[in-house]
Amino acid sequence: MGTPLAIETHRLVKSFAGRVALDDVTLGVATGELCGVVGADGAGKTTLLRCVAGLYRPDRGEVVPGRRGRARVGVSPQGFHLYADLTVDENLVFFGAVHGLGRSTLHERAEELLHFAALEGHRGRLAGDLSGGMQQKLTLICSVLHRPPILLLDEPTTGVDPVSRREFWHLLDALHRGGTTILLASAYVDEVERCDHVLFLHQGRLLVDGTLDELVPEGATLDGVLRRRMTIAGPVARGSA
Amino acid sequence: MNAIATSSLSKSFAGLEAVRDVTLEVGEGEVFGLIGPNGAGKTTLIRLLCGLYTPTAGHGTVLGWDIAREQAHIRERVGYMSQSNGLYADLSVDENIRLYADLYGVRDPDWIARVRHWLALQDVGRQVVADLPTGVRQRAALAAVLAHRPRLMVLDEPTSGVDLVAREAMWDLLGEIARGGVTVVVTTHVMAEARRCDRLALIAEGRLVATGAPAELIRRSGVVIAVVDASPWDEAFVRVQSLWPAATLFGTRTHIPVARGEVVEPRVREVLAHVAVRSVTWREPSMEDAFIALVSAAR
Repeated sequence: MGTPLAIETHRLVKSFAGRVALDDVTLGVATGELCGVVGADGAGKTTLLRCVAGLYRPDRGEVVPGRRGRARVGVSPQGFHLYADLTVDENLVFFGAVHGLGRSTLHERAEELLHFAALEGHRGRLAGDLSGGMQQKLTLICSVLHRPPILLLDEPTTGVDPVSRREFWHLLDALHRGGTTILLASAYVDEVERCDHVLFLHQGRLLVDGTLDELVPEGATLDGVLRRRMTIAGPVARGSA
Repeated sequence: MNAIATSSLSKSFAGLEAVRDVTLEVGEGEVFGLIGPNGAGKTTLIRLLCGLYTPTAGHGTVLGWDIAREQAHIRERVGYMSQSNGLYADLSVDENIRLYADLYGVRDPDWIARVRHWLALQDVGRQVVADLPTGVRQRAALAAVLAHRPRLMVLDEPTSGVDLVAREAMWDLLGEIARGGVTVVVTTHVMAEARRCDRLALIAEGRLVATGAPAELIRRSGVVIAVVDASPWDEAFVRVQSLWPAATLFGTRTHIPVARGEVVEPRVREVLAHVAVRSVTWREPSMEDAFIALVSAAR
């Protein structure tokens, strides 16, 4: 396991108005790994991603990259975060400018990414008029315009149909093969089954951390394993920061 | 008796056929799933069944009423939940339920009490919908749909945006509602959940591609998954994908959907001659694998 870590948290704690969102979370994601973090609504997935991206300052503990490594991170937030009234091309130009890309670099990368995501035929369409699957692909390529070595994705396939979801995963596979470290939050267990490394957050605590081979015994399912861990953990008293 | 029966049902909009020649039957008390890619015609079909659209061709009955001529009767007995759940966010749970019951002119306190009990809403009746967690909000939306005692419930992606624990509970509930005598028609994009339906109809480009129990559709897809464990995994994947474009990565393993009975291993070993192949094993396809195989076969 000699691979250096791209993402690290050490005893991370983050609360909001006395409600603990992340409770003593220590984890490491190796460089080049595709790591999936699964959990229920409110389990702490988004808070974890935002701490890693440097968007939240933790109450306690350490985070890498965090604020200092922000430029190395690409973030694809949950929900619709494009400009609905701008075209596909205009969205790319906007996000390229946010990342400080020069005109020729931006043009070159936008072309490459539009081809990569098979969106060339839609460049003049308004982002708001695209199908859910295309919007997710556009969000993804906007978040990798500056070629970040680390990519954070928050529930990128929620509400996307199975065919578009598989297309989206082909893109992730390609980024993964290209060496990008990916931390993906998902509400779907079958989605994190596609990852090298699985994290399971439950009520702000990290209950499961390992590879599929380590976690799932022969004949068992990941879903079953997570459920068992949740039952053992039991309900956690909330609100006591 | 069938809750739904259609025969060669079609609906066009300005020359565009959204639903084409759909013949299907849904039994009373079934949890029946409609699955298909975006734009396949699921929502149009649902609206035809709810008496909100008039068919261009073909015919059908819902709860014994004709979908072209007796739409008012159908609308009285059908509960429809759209993707946006239809609740008034600034009203309480109880106020929403009462509002929906009143809209249909139905006052049946015993039934409402039963619905609230079914959906475990007794303790949150006075809470404003906007303050509720998504899972509870979806249960409240179900209660509003059930308020007028429908015999058929039609739910458009009821678990979208609901977390994994609440989703599981929601499917348990739908089973319970169906056992209580209300037929449930439901659409979903999550194939792991579609497996919870008694039967499924797969729709693509407006046509019915297949109907049957989930296990039957998986079998009928005719695919099986070859799992290749090789090193270096990334190179193995690229090589495999050049022969089988539908191959995908699961962690560092490559999954290849292939036709059942197809001899694959020698070809895998040949294309991976310069890569260390640790193993080639087999696994049954998931509902999603079956969905993708059936949809691409239909195109």
